Amino acid sequence: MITVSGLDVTFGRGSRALRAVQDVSFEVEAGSVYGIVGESGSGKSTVLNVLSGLNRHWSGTVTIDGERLALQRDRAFHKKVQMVFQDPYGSLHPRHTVDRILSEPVTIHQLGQVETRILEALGDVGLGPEFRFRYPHQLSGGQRQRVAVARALILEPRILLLDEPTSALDVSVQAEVLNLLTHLHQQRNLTYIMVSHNLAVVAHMCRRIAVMNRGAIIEELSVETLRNKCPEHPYTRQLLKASIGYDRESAETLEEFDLNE
Amino acid sequence: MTALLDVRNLRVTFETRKETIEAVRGVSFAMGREKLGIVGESGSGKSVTGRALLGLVRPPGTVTADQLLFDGVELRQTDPRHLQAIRGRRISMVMQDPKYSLNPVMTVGEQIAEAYRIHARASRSEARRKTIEMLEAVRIRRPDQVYDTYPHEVSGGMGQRIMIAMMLIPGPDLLIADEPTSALDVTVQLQLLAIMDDLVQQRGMGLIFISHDLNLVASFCDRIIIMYAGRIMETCAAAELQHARHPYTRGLLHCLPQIDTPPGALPVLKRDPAWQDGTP
Repeated sequence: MITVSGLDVTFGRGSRALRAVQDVSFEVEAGSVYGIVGESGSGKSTVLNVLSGLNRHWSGTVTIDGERLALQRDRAFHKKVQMVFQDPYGSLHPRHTVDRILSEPVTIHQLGQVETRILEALGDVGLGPEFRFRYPHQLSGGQRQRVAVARALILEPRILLLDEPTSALDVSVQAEVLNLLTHLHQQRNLTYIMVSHNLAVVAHMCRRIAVMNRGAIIEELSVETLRNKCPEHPYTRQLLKASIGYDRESAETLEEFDLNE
Repeated sequence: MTALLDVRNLRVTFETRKETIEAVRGVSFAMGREKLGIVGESGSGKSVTGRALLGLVRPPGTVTADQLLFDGVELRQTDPRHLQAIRGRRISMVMQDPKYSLNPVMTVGEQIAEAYRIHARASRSEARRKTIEMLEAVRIRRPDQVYDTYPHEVSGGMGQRIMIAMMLIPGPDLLIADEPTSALDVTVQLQLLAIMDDLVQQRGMGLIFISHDLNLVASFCDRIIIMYAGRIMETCAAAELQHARHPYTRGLLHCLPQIDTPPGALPVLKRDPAWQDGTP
């Protein structure tokens, strides 16, 4: 179980301070898939960066299995929580082979049996052993994202943080990666927190969904509510409408939603 | 009706040291003053097709075609100077990311005014007046203030409106938009499409809308061309997309997650090698 309460993140200081995340609270049950959606600048990725330990300038309380997280994370934390980033072209070291990319976490955590673990991790994400000594540029976008998932899974974490894991991929490849994530979730009883701007992807993967706008969660809803297209907040309704496709009339009715209004 | 653009057997190849890559392999289509969508995945040749029409494919790329007829003018035989008169003035192009398309050291107003003055030989004050009118047309509030801002001071959505203003100010007959809204939020995307929709209708322009987003194109355009591996797989009316016949189009439609369908494994697209040599 993950709980976040009263999370605040501010970038900059003084008159130029920007409150990127404002009083965000939510709970994620162990073994479930939790989604965070929002437009750019809504703070969704910042929340994920706080959870993963990449952002150390926050206040509030974050607990995992009842244990309160400090600003500085230890090795045990990273064994339990891993992250997959949006852009598989930027998140893999271009001059490291797949073998080196996957062996590094195993070596750091001194888990041993590097070779078997690498081959197993590659198999888990549907890549054969022939991919082991390739460089990222020798892989397609979908294969790279599979390697990124394998790198996260090789430590056998309980929690996977997914930051827009398919938005850099073609739709046919997106389907493959989403299926892989669903399969791994069921097989290993993992907990996912998935950030995305794509409502359809979130509706496909998640059971509960938080909608963020300008740093705050404006609505938390179940996937059923989203599927029936009856969210409560007007912002969510507008987002839903805009996601469905182009409609000249609804373009006319778009509103600005500001927290202070 | 004579077509605004009539393309026959367009081919684009890139010669590299190792191999010859055929990015576009025999594309033919004709369009009038309508909204035509070109949809495909990465590597399908959709962007290269758009660039080839404007003569923007650089060496080592080579473009050949049996015909590239724009409003009665054969673009292939036009010498560079005449092509220059068509490009920008009569056919213009909006690219995906305004951040890389705008000049970072020139105010947005000056850039748009420059585009106007090159093609219309107008005075400075006339160009400024026209520019502010155009900024209003793409629904920018306080256009006289925006005139003096630099590209880094504006948001992505605003940047793309500025691009559209710049491309439309010479009054082109055909606008090629290559993923103009892919980098933007969905609500901003909707606003921008409405602007393009209105301008295309008011001015009676043709629009080629290049995108990877099948559903978006289906809801926005009149007709859709679906490309795969440098070829046209299928052409259909946008309203008829749900009844598309080609297995590739159907595969693409099915592998999209939908908001209102319950989860389960998504059907994965199985590519048939026969599509590569495929049917037109």
